[in-house]
Amino acid sequence: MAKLIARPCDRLAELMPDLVENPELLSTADAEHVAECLRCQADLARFRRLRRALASLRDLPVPADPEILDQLLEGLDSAVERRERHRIAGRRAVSIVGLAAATAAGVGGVLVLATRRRSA
Amino acid sequence: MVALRAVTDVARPGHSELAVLVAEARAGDRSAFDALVRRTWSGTYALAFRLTGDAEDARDVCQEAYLRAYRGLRRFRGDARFTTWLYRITANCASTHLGRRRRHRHEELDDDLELNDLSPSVDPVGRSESATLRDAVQKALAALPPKLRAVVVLRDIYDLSHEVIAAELGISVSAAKVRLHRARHRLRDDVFLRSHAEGSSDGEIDRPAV
Repeated sequence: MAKLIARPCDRLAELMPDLVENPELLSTADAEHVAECLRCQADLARFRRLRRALASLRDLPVPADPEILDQLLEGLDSAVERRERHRIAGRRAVSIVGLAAATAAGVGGVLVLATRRRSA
Repeated sequence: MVALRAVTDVARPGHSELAVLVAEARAGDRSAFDALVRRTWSGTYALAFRLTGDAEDARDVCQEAYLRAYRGLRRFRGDARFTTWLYRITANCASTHLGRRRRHRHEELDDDLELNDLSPSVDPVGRSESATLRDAVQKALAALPPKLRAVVVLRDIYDLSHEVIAAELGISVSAAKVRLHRARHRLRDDVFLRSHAEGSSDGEIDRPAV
C-alpha cells in the first residue's frame, strides 16, 4: 500500500497560525516552497493581516455606558465598608473573648484563694 | 435608553503616573486607588467586553477585577506594568465568570474544527488594515467559543505571554497554544474564506489575484 505523504501546502497550512508569531518554525526547505507557492504565500499573508487587524483592535473604541465608572467606584466603596465592618466586628469579638477569658481567670483565682483559706 | 460612549485606551495612562498612584494606593490612600480606576477602567472594560462579548458580563467582570486588585494591591510587586497586572486579573475574572455562566448555559468548546480548502489567491502586499477588515475580525471574534476567544484576545490583542495566559485561564501552556492555533484558524476561515465563498461585500476583503 502506498504511503500517504502530506503535500508541503497541506503541512504548512497547519503550521501557518504559528508561523506568524514564530517565523523560525519555517525550515529552509519549507521557506523555499513558500517562496514559489502562491497558495502558501496567500495563506501566510492572510494570517499576517489577521494578526495585524487583531493588534489594531486594542486601540479601537468599545461602546460603554458612562455610568460604569461610577458603578465601579460605588462597588469599591461598598466592598471597603464591608471589609471595615468585618474588621471592627472581628476586633470586638477578640475583645469580648479576651474579656471573658480574663473574667474566667479572675473568678477562678478567687475560687482557688477561697478554697485555700478554707482548708487553712 | 442609556447613552453609550466609546471608550478606548488609546490615551493610555503613563506608566510613571500610574506607578506613583500605585505606590500611594499601596500606602493606604483610597483616593489614589480611585484615581487608578478612573485612569484604567476604559481599557479594563474593553478587555472584559472582548473576552465576554457581552456588556453586562463585562461590567460584572470589571467590578470583580477592581475588587480583587484593591484587595491584592499589596501583592503587586511592580515588576510588571500595573495595567498588565490588571489585565491578568481581568482575564482570570472573565474566565471564572464565563465558567460560572457556562454551567447554566452549557457553552462547549467545539473541537471539530473544519478547515476550508484554500484556493490560490494573492494578497496585495502592504495593504493597510481597513475598517471593513476590522469589522469582519470583530464579528468573527464575537462568534468564537469563549475558550478560543479568550486566548486569541489575550495573545493577539493584548500581547500577554503564553505562560501568563495559561496561568490566568487555569490551563497548561500547551493547551493555551492549541486553543490559539484553533482560534486563528477559525478566524482566518471566518474572515477571509467563508465571507469570500459567500460572495458578500465583506468578501471583498480578500480579492483573488487578477
